[in-house]
Amino acid sequence: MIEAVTYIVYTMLVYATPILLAASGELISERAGVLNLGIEGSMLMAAFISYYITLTTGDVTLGVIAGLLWGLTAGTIIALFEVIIGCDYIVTGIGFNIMMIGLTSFLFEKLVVSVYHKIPYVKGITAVYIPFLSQIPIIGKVLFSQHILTYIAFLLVLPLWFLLNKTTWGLKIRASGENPEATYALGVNVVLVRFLASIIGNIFIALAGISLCLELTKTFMHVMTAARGFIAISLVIFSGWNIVKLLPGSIFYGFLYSLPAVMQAFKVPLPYQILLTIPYIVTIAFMSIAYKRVKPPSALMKPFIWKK
Amino acid sequence: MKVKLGIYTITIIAILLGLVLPLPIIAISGIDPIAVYSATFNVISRNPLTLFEILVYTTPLMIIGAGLFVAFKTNFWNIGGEGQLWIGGLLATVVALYLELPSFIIIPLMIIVSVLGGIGWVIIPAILKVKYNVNEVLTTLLSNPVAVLIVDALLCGPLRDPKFLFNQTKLIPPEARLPIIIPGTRVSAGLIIAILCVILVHIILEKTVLGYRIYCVGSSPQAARYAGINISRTILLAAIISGGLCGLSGMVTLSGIQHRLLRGFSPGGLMMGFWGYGFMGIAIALLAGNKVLATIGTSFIFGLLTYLSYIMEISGGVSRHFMMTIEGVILLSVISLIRLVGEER
Repeated sequence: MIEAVTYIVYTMLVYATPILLAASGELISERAGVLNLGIEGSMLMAAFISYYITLTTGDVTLGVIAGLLWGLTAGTIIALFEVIIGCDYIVTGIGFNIMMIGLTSFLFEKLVVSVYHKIPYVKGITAVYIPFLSQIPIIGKVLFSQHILTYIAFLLVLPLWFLLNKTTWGLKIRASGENPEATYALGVNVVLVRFLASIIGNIFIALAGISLCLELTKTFMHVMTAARGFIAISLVIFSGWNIVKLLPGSIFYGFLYSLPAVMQAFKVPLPYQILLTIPYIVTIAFMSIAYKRVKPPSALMKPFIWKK
Repeated sequence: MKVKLGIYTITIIAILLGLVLPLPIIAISGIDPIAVYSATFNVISRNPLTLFEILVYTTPLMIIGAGLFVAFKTNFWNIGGEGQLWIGGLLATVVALYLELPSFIIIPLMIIVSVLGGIGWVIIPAILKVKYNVNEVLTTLLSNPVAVLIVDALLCGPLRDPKFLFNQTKLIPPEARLPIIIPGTRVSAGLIIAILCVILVHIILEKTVLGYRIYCVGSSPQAARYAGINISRTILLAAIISGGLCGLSGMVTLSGIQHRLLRGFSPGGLMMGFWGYGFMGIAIALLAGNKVLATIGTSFIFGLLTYLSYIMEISGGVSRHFMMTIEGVILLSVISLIRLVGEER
């Protein structure tokens, strides 16, 4: 019994990591007023790049670095369309997602499946056992034997909260999202702030993809992100754009996403497709409850056009 | 220098960009583009009748494009066309497999059922949108994988044809199939239904009060409110029309093209509902600009692209997923071109 609970909680935290990372990244860029609907494609491509580089070089570090570089690139692309040109955020996001989902599947079939004739596993990021603490019976296994990115994701929440709410940089980011015209009048370069927020957000989103691929599955599949990006966006909405409130939400979604794996481990005879639908149905249900209570940043989805 | 281009010029430029910009990726990944083109040309010249396949793929796309056009005109971003198509197709399959009726009863019945299925799948996001102002992009988008997974679960269970290794249903009886209108090809009467749908939407948008309200709500909600237009009702009706048409396209795909429900029913089936006719419909509706009749042209372009993607996969080894990249580039180019060089509307 205790072993079962330990296993469930451990899996829950593993599955919560990519969602928490993606939601943190999305929250940063949304606080600056950039709604990044391309999150799904960005995450998927990061997963594929880190997987492919790790597979071909055999070096996990290189894979992670390549994934992070992709985050930088994706942030620049999104910012180019949404901040510099000022396109419609919804169409940009949908277009970017379709492009990246197609590109990952195309490259995956071309560079991996048709070369190796199977779907190879990579070594991935190994779990870190914190000395002494991981020896504690149950808590040691659950909390102190996790992967590096899990620690990073959960430990970064408080510094990010501090950065967003207590520092000048955070104030500039939030002001750009609430009232870009007034912020611009005060001498803050709104376009630059939004550009950087989009890049930083996408680096977190890329980390989410890396964690999904190199820690969770250790392999790649078509559309393996399975809407985790969109779930992260809805999580940002539920949290009321407050980064600390992302924690319980992402753990809950970690639980929902881990259900198929857990049910398989305990041999529960339910069609796995039905279990896979649960996160989506729960999100749609939550959206209807949460929307009345929260207030988005005022200038979210409003492009700021530079007037000379 | 101020160049202003109309929407249709931009559409053409965007499609050309979509075809040209991704070429380096094909070249880098080690495929010879010229070999692909000549192999494709060989396939087509050996059997020119396959060119009619373009019309086959155009049929469901045209219906979805017209449906999404209505929703987009009220700024209701129905991204769930794919899910509505699957539910429509699923209900039509159930009716066709379990009711043995003559053609003139069963086909209208399948149409009604699939339209209702599509409406049922869009009505929850639509009500949430008008009642609680819940963002419909996320709710409709997340309803896609739910629909695909439900169909998948049924295909593995009760609906599965035990004679086959693949998870697919039995073929629907000949009475439930739409007649072929061009002999020797797969072009079915679905094409006529599709064109009728576009004309119907055109009449609704241009000649009725509802169409006028839809344009008002979409272009300026404040003005519409002052004019006494019930915004919620207009959005709800537009969503219902759009969902119904997306559901209908599922029936047309089933009874005109596939004749059975399977995972490859729409290209999105293997992508968990994040791709497929429903997503091509978004581009079709957006590229059509202000006139719904233009969806006939844009859906033909996407039918052509789909056809080429299949031919290229068979002859040149270019995975058909590449088509998604092309559509993504087209979407991104069209919106940025509208911003940069488009006319003021």
